[in-house]
Amino acid sequence: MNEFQKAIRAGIPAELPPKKEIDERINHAPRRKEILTEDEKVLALRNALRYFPEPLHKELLPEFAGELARYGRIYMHRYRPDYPMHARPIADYPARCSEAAAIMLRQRSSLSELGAVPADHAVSLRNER
Amino acid sequence: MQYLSEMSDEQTLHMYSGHPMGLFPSQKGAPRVVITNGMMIPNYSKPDDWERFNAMGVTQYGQMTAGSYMYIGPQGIVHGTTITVLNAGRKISKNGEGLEGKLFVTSGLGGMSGAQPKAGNIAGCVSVTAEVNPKATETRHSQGWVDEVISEVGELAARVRKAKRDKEVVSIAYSGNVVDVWERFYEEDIQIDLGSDQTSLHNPWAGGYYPVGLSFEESNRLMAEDPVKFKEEVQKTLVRHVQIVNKHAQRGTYFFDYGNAFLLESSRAGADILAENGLEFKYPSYVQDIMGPMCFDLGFGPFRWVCASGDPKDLRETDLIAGAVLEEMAEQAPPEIEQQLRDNLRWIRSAEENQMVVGSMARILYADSAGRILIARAFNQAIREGRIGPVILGRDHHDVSGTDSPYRETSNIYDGSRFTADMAIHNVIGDGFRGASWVSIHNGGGVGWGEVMNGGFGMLLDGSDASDSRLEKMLFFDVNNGIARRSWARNEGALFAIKREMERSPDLRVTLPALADEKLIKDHLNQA
Repeated sequence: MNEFQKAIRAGIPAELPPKKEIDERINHAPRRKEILTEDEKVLALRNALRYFPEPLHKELLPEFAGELARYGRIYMHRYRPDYPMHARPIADYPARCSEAAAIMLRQRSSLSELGAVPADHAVSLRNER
Repeated sequence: MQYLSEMSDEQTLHMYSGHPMGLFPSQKGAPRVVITNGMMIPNYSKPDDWERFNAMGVTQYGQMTAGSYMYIGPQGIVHGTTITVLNAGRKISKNGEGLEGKLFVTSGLGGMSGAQPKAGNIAGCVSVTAEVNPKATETRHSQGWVDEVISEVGELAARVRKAKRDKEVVSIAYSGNVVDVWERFYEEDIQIDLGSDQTSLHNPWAGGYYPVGLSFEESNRLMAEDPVKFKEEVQKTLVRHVQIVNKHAQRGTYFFDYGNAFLLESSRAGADILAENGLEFKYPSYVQDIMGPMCFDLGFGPFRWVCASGDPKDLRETDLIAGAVLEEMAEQAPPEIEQQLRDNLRWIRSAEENQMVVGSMARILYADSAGRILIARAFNQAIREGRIGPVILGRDHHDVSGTDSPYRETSNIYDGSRFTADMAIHNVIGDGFRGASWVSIHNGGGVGWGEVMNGGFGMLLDGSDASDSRLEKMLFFDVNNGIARRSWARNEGALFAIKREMERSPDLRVTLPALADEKLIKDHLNQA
């Protein structure tokens, strides 16, 4: 298995991946207006942390809270995949059935082909898993 | 992705607005993935509801094909825009002349709108597309999707005069606000033949539309820091935008709404956009005038496929297969659909030359139910014979049956049902149990959250007999569902198409409308 296949099979990594800087060269969605009440902000953060084991929460919390304050959304930049986002031949996707491989191919390439729209922010992270 | 890499062909993954709820036991032949995006209780589907629930991480905007894993870059929209511009050209043609030396003015160089310059070139006119975001302009220019970039409006006017005079086929990006272009061209008396707009007006308050007179950076700041003021500025610009379009229209410009909610948002901003009856808009949506009656009602829509091997040779082979099918169909077609088949034949023959692949080995063309089935069957045969690898079928959501959208896909439905969404829901359920590999349904997409229900599908062809049976059943329903609804709404083309289909397909029985005489009813009501 190559690095890409390993990353796919691993899903959300058990260890904290290194922090990621935001690539300003990529076109990003503009900052959203502030809409959540204080209680709803708590909810947003609790919701985001649902994806990660409890021992990681202390470290992730300030980052996620920072994103919420800065962008009005929690993008979980740290968990952005490291592999390049593009369409690969179907045989490259690790899968037990060919339909699932076809869906992985389409899911990844739909993101990469978004081109000039703010893909990095707009849709990527909630679709990641 | 982890779930997908683990699942068997007897499980289904359920995606709730981007969240993988989990893998559930199902069966072979069932969809492997069911996707919903932005499904809301209808009363909670206003723009601010989206802002709130999206910020909380419990919903997302699915857009159209991006949220259903069927986005293939701007090729789909290039094709749709080319067909629209060509047919708009036919509408304004006085003596059968083409678009040579005619001018098309529009805006937007984003993911969808970035297709306009290329479509203008394929249709053979001079096009000017304005874009406020320099990064988007740069992306499209570096990708070769637009020929020239000009950022000074006076220089633009001079360049356009020359291009029109010399009948050049050229696409020019104007780096700035489109309102400045319309106003300057009016002052300088430059005739705009076709006009449209593809700013992201489904998202007017958060970056989809920018006020004239403010820089891109200033606008972004204002949007976040003073959203109320920003909204006012946007609305002021919309009013001014419509004013100048109206002036050009008096000089003969054919302006059409390209489905981005331009008409809707300008009317909400108080612009002078309503027709004399106070109900309809001054300008047609391209679906009402062009796409609806000439394509969707007859079952023609954006069928697409992706060669899963990623091999360009496979794509070339599928282009040849599809071309051969279309040619044979065109020779036997009744006049009602022959023009459509010929336009698409021309498209597929030059598709490779136009270099529209941006990643996946993907292709789009418009075909009706019979055409889609014949092409897919021929692909499956080629896979079986080992001539090509597996093929993934899909389509744009902007189609006959998949989308209920009262100002776009279903804007030419006149029986009052265009504000209902039964068709789109039946479509996704019906595709799901007829053999799609995955299905999706979204609230929002194109025209905005709360304004549309749209769905799509994907289907893997692997050369098996099972693929043959699935493609036939699913594609048949995926087109004829919408034709049935359009014919029930009394649309002439759809009545023609569904009657023709019933003659061919004994198992299809659609309820046909009796056409009541409107005058009879009015007279009766006046007497009473």
